[in-house]
Amino acid sequence: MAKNFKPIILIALFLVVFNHNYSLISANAQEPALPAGLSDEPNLPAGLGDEPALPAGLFDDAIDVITDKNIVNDDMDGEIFDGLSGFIENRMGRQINRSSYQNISSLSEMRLHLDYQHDFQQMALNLSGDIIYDDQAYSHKSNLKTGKGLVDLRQFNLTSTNFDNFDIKLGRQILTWGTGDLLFINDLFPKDWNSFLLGRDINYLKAPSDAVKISYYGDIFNIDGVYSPQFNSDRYIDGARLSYFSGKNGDIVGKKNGMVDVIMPDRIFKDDELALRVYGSHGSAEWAGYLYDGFWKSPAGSDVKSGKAIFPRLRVYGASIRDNIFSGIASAEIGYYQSLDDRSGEDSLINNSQLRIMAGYEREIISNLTFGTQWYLEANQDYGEYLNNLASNAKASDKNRQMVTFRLNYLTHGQNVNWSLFTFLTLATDDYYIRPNVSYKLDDNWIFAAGANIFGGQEKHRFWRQFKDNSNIYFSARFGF
Amino acid sequence: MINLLNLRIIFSVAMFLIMVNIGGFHINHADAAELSAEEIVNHANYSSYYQGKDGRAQVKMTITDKQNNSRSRKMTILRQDITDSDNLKNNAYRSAQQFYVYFHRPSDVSKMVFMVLKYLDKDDDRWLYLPALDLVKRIAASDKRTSFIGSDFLYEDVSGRLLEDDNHQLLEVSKNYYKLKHTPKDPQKVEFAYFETYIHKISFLPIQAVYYDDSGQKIRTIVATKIKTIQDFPTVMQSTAINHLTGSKTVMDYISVEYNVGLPKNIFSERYLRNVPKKYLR
Repeated sequence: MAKNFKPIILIALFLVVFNHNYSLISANAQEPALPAGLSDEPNLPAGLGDEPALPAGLFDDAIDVITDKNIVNDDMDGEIFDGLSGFIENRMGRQINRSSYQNISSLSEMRLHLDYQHDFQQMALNLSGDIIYDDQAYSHKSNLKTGKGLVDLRQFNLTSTNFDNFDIKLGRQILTWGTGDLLFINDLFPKDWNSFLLGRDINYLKAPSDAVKISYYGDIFNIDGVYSPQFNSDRYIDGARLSYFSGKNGDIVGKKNGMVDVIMPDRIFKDDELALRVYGSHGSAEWAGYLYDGFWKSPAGSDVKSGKAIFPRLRVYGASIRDNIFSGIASAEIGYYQSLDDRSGEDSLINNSQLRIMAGYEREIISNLTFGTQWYLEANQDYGEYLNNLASNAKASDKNRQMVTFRLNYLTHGQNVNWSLFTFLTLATDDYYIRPNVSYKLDDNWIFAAGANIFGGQEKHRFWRQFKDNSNIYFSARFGF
Repeated sequence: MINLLNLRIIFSVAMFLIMVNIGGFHINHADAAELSAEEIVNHANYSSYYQGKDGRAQVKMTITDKQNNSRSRKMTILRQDITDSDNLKNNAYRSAQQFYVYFHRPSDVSKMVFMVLKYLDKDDDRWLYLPALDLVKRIAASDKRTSFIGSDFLYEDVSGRLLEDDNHQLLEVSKNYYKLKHTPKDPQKVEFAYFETYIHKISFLPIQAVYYDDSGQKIRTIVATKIKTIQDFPTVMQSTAINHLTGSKTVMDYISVEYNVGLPKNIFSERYLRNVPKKYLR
């Protein structure tokens, strides 16, 4: 009988070895080690046969439970001291075409930008501004309104978020709304066209407003109301840094022969501005209605007596819609510009009332490459009246101006290099503005950028062509902290 | 006769041992027999992205390239699930989610906000707030397989990949892990041929995921390297992604994590893009 057990033992051994081998295979070498935090876990109890629900007590002995009290948030911002950040930047630019009206050096400035935020109970103080040494400025005397000179105060406001349904922001602030990409219809907050065309950082396209902004938030719609007791004009093209076409001279003029002399509406509480927006969403669609009452933001007429440029009164009614369509963003915006000082259109020295419309679409075509396009129309409403009253020797502006824009943005090198190309193309008159730019983030502090602003076309009085002499290239080095 | 009897004994003992062996295997890994690959990935999906009805995390990312240059990002992420449920049954926990990502560092993105409304059945809605321009920019839903803010993590690693996008296969069950293989249903949409995960059997946290190309070469590895239980939720506190093609590596450290913060629903709106809800970010 003893003899008979041998094969049994043999088979048993075989099975044990087989089983052992199986576990060796399953303990694959590629299997990750248990990470810290799971290593102290007890082995599964032998008899655990049911679905392994998360046993609440399993980790209790081994691991701390984070509560409000021991949340670590030291140095979360990595700021020099809490709430402060900024950068130092050097930016150089040079005209491509030697223009007799401006210096060949279009930009030569060193800028220190500081951003400071301080939070009180339900209030926040926002302060941001630049100290600029601008080699091309003819005066370093600061003018806080125009931003010219040594100091450009960009934000200095108090925000209260004390109330359930209201926010108030009081003081100097940057304001933006609307759906356009570098095109604005219902955003009538001041722009700095000089910075934009000279090749400063895109953040400087917006100039600050001195205003109070009151926001209401409801279930169905929200309202923003912005009141400025004194008109905030654009930082308009005045000839000092950029040449332009002067209707008066019938030619391109610059700082030597065509500095714009303006009559600025500046009576506090009389020359004021009001901008309203009612907005909400329906599903993923965002809609808004707008109203603006104030002035044309850049000179839009001239005073008969003095010949100075003026900012006629303007009211704008508008609307916009924006939604996610075919994995891209589609938007449309319309605005009726009522030129209040020339309602009939008879005054050829003041801008006609206009209808402005745009539609745009943007989407990612391939990974990290975004394409956007917009169509834009500006239609003068009383063009016949305007023509009838135009001085015989004056160059008539067109009835309509139609423009298309294209944007290409491409991120490469681990998203540290951004190649961008934005093009404005005026239809019918074939004038254009091309903005290529490349920026490189060397590390967490240094960013280098280079780009160009190229204007061209046939007739020199055209919208973009008039800036042809200002075509420039620029380079910047920025250290952020 | 004796021989025959012996044979019968041998046979029955052998059968017994085989049965015991199979049975033993069965007993030791009872959970494997009862959980399907789908159930495991469903639970892992919950553990990774849906624990609690909302959450707040302060995150530091360190990206180190092949040349050993490193960059960092610091951000606070707020999350809210549209459904309150934490129930795995019938996928009750799965719902649209809202994310609010506030960037602290580096300085060029400081104070920017990225907001995402993530749906299960259509493209995300996304917004970017640029404070210097006070601009609320609606942005197109990007390819989800692209880098998240320049790191070696992809958008889908951060916000979750739809379970329906892959076929899931349970390969192995070991003492600590379920090992699964996931094969994309539409290989054209992704950069990998398949990926394998090790999912911790108790916490259901994916501890390692390796992505392979057609030839079986590793292209990317993500490993969870620190786990902590926070408010009863097992939570990944450190995760590392390695891009084997570029030699780049990103370590994501969770400086703090909190669940069921009680975020108001309206945090995820234009109001709080323009006026940062400091209370919930610090």
